[in-house]
Amino acid sequence: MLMEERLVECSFLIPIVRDSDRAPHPPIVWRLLQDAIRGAFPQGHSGPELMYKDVETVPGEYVEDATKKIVRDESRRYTVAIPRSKLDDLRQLLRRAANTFDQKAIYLAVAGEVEFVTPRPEDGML
Amino acid sequence: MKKSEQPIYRTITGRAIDLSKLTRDERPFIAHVVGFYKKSLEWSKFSGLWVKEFEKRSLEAKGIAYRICQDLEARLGIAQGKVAAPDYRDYLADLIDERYGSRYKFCKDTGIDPGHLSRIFASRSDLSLDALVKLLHRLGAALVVQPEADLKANASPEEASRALAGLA
Repeated sequence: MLMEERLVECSFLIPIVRDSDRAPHPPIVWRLLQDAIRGAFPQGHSGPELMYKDVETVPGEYVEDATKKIVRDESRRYTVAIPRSKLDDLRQLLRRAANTFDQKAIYLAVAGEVEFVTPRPEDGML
Repeated sequence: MKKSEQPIYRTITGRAIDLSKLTRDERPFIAHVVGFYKKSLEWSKFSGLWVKEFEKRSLEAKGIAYRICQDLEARLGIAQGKVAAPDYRDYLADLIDERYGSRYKFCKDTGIDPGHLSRIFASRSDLSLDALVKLLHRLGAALVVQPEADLKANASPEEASRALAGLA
């Protein structure tokens, strides 16, 4: 990372239950996510490549495809700052997280612009 | 003369962490974290606080303080109903971490497919009882059945606070 490279604020949501059975995740997957973030954005001479700004539990809702009913849920929102050149690394990490956390897509906002990161099986897991 | 007891912290999976091995920088960090942990903060709020403090102090993620904080966070999540109680996957992950240091080394040594192990940890796949017993044997562990009440008590935030009280 170049010292003068500017950081971009990103936030992403990890729902606290699995898509398939609405069960909460076991402790191990939250640990794997934390470890993967550390691995993807290691500590450098000028500090870590990723800076945590906030972690919070936030309410959300979505329309279920099959029943068209509104489902209310909760997600963990991570707000971080990373160098712009590392954005694709974050997207790749979130694809793996989506597979591990049993999610069809992960909400990601980059400097206020929203996108959905959709995983493929070949992206692997955390 | 009675031998003085080693200060031990036990994770939700029973892994023993020798608190006397905390470094000079880790010890005050854990004492600080315990200060706000005792306030029973919301699970994610606690996560944000400890991670930011960890970064502020430029501590090493390979150290035992990092692992203790991850465990404290899991306990809050379980107590607040946001995280599932630990199951065999958590025990297996901790044993692998303790005995091999990395999943890669474990998979190489045992011949287990890393992709399969990832799917197991993500609850997307299971191990047969026979396969689990064999893997546990390789890790020097055995399967035991424990009352749910005991598991809950071991994973409680209060249990962790008690174990770390001497550092605060």
